[in-house]
Amino acid sequence: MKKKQLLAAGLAGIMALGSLTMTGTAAENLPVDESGNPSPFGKYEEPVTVEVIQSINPTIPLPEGDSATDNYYTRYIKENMNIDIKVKWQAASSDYSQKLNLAIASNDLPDILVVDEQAFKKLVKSDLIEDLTPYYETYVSDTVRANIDQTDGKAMERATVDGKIYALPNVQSEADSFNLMWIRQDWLDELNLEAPTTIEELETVAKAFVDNQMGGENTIGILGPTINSRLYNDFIVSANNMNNLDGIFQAYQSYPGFWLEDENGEVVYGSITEKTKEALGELQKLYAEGLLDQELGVRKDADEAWKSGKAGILFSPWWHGYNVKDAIANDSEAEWKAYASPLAADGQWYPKMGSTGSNYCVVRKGYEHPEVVFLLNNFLRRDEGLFTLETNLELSYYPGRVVIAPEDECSFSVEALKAEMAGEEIPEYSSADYKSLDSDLLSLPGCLAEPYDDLGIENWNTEDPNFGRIYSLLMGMMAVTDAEEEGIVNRTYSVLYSQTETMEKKWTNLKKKEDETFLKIIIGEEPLDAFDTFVEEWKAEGGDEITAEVQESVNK
Amino acid sequence: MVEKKTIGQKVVNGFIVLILLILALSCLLPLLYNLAVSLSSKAAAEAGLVSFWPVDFTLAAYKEIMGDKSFFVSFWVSVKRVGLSLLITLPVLTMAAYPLAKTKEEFRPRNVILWLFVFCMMFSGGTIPWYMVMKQYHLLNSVFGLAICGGIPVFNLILTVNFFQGIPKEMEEAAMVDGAGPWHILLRIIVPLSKPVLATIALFTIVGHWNEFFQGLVLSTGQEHYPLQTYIKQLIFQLDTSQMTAEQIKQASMMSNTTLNAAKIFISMVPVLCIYPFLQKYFVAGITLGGVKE
Amino acid sequence: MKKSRNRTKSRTVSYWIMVLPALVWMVAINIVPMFGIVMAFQDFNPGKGIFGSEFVGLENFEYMMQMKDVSQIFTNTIVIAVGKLILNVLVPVCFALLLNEIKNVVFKRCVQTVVYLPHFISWVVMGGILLDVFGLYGPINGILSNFGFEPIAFFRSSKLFRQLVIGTDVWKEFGFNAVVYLAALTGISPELYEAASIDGAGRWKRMWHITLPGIKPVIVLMTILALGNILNAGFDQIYNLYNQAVYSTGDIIDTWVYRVGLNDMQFSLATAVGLLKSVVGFLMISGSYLIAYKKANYRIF
Repeated sequence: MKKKQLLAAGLAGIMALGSLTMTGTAAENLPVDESGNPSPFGKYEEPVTVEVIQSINPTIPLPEGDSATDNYYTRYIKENMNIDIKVKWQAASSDYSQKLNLAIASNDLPDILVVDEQAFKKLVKSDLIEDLTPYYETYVSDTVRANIDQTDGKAMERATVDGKIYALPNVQSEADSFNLMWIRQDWLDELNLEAPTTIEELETVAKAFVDNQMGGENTIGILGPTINSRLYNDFIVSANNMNNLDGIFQAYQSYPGFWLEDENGEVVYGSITEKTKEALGELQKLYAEGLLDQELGVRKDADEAWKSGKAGILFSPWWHGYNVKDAIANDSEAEWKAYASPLAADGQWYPKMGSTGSNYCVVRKGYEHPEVVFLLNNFLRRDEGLFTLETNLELSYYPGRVVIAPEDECSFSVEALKAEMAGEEIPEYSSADYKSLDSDLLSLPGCLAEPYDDLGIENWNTEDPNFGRIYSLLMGMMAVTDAEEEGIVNRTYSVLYSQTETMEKKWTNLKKKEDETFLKIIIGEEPLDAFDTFVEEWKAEGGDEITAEVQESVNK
Repeated sequence: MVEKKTIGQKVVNGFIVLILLILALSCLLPLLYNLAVSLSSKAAAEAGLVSFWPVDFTLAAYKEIMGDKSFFVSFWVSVKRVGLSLLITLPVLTMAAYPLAKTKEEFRPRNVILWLFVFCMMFSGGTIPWYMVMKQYHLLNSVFGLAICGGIPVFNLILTVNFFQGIPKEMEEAAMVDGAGPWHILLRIIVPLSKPVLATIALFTIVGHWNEFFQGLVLSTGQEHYPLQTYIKQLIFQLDTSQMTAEQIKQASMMSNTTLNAAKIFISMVPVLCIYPFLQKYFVAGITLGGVKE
Repeated sequence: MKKSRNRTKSRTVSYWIMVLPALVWMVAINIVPMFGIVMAFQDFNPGKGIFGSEFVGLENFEYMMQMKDVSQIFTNTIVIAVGKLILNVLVPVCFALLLNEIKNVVFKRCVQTVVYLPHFISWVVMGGILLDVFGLYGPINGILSNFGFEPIAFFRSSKLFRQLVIGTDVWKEFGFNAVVYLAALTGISPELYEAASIDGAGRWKRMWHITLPGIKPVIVLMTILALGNILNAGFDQIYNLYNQAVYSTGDIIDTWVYRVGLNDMQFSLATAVGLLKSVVGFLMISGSYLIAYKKANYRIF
């Protein structure tokens, strides 16, 4: 009996092997168009099952009768691609990375998954994901390809290891990188002050805010980040940082945390430059004078501070406007405006720019239909605008989703909105390219009172569901486009946005030293000269070695 | 015990009461704060304007919970988990503790077994192999899995052993002379004498399982299987944005609803608070034993 | 004689049946996953699994020891852990003794219930509350300023950080930790007190000669078991309270491993650190057990 079973199992194994070697023949189940050719928008002849994992928002339940495997998106996918979605697990975005790490460690992966930079590297190194090179050319749609190519190959470079494409990388709008100065306009007006454009003016304004107790006793002139959040963006996490201090570093053309190239093409780490020391000196001074957040480093919740009207100036991305509503709920006068400021001594603005993206859609090694990654995202990219009109279901429920957006998505939206507001003709665009623009234009009248010539807070309707976005665009992003028109924007990129080999061993300790020294200098626990000691130690303890590695990877 | 109290004793008594009152008050404040937040308006709470008294009093958060199905689903999972873990833990530990409380002469392998347990208390293979094994056992999404996945509660076992050792030998020996077997002695003599320690390990089991969230997260594939603390934990976190995508950061910042979360924390505490006074009588009543291990 | 031997034998069989469920539970859930310990000696590669990954000997431990500030991190860990260890026994015992002096049952019960509340508030929530309370403009600074002190951001002070961590942990847990001692106090016969009373023993004498000896076995047991946590300073608490300015006194092994993990998923390193903590903890427990047994002929369990 036993023997027979063994034999049967063996036979089944051999047969399975046989079917494996048969791939590539005509009998294959491929996504095809009407004429029967494999296509980026094809549909499988036989149903295909894809197992996925989901990062969800547990506070928003699915519509009645829907489930993880039967909802608007799964029905859309079944209908258009003949793919059945199976959910391996789902978790809130706060728990997602923890569960994902465990799934990777125990080699218990779904068929396709979206991961961050670090997990992507690990997966490639562990040989757990499929090489997508053979599928890329055939299955990537023109729009997706165009958005990827827009980045001058940077996006593709991220997804390529040893000449093989291992993922579909996301491409995000560059808007998330800009750290703008958000300021209480109503306070400025009350004190008869202009928005600051230089560090000196910033000091004057912050001092006026604090001295006049604009936010009551213990007014915070310039707000710092929440406890344990980063003071500035770095090359690993290079965008979307709320309440940071980058705005001030930028004014000194200092880019801590970034890898820079000097005139001679030599790589240098931004945190150890003289300019950074200068900027730290200024921050130390701001803190000592009581203008910079006195609870810097231990601030329980920075958002709390500005929502309650205690803070006058902060540095955040354009989408700070999404949350402005909460401040207005406590004080209807609270008016947050954004500026591309403060400028450097030469009158230029030097924003620190993030990576083209930070996540990747990959395929489990051995999955039969790696092309689904492209298919799913092709359709998503094409019909995303349609989805927002037809369903409230969050896009995070769309399987295998990576955001693919034109780099200029936000700035173009601002241009279009401006044209609409001025009654001019809107520049021609395709809804597929700028997927939110249709709804942005539609919701403008609901958010802002006509004739659109005054963006004062009293003219806004904060109750409109799209208020956050429109306000962010017309306040936050417009500050960037205006500066662009003035010709004062000088983007600075890091020459590297991923880790080198030595970093895996030594970066944690170098980073610790950096974080500790910088915070202590700012709050005056260490003199500014501690910076020089830090630089020496940083170099000696692996910094030089790592710099050489970065140099090498740049020269390649 | 009627004693005449001298003035000195009264002062000492008053001092003790004062210390206890201060301690109790300091312990009550965080809960009061939480309660005040849950009863305040969202805007005031998010701006950190609430201290120990609600600002813009509202029951909105509690009304919202009443309409939240997944909160109650998780609540029920936790209740089942606690109940089942009690049903398993108490008998298993009581049975095991009895022979282990014997001397080496009475039960030869006692030391070996006990040290094996201590070894297991200290060492583990880590989350990864543990998860793989649980999966092999088909214990994902299972209440039974949640009840046993933490392994045997060695700490509680040792506590019970220690207590059993303190029970005077004479009582047992008398029963033995009458021809009573081990089972009889355990059930009729030891267990009735051990109510305080059994109440203690019952409390530890209840509290431990009620508060546990990590295993719930790892062993569940979706919300509908989460125990309550896993459900709550995902909403209340220190935002570590370094591993999150821009999308997730935005999503997470929308997820934080200070008042609602405070209300959830408060409601989740109620059951254990109700159980405690009930178990307390076993700690306060006092049972007369001949003596205590010395 | 034979009869008695039979009885002994059947009793032994009963004993075995009694421990069996516990043994099964232990083997299935605790022992089986222990194969994962080998990861500590590997360069674990998820693709190859635990049985296929390359062995690297002690490299993971060496990596930890080569770290420049290793002594700082171990010092922080041990200082905080030992502080907690001692006070987490001392304070609950004192509290239980004080409570024992109270005759009013209602008051007693109320206090007992209230002090165990903070145990149920997670460190994420408690951390936020503590940052407020000890904040620059918080109530503690408010009180201190009445005495002429300058306000300080307590949790940003590297001099005060360890004390604060130990203190707040002890405060949060003493009510819950006292449960064991309160249970043990019930085991003390009231007759003993009465007899002492008649002998004219005062409050302190009774406490010293009856109450304390009565709960001594539990105190010793709890202390010894706590020794197993000599390298656990409490990740959840510190993660929610520390910041860059207190790295020098507040960075512990677990927070360091956490940050290394963020930088690079080092499964093996985490396992190695876990193993190190287990070995040290086990040695502490068994060492103290042996010393107590050999020197004082005292059996802890």
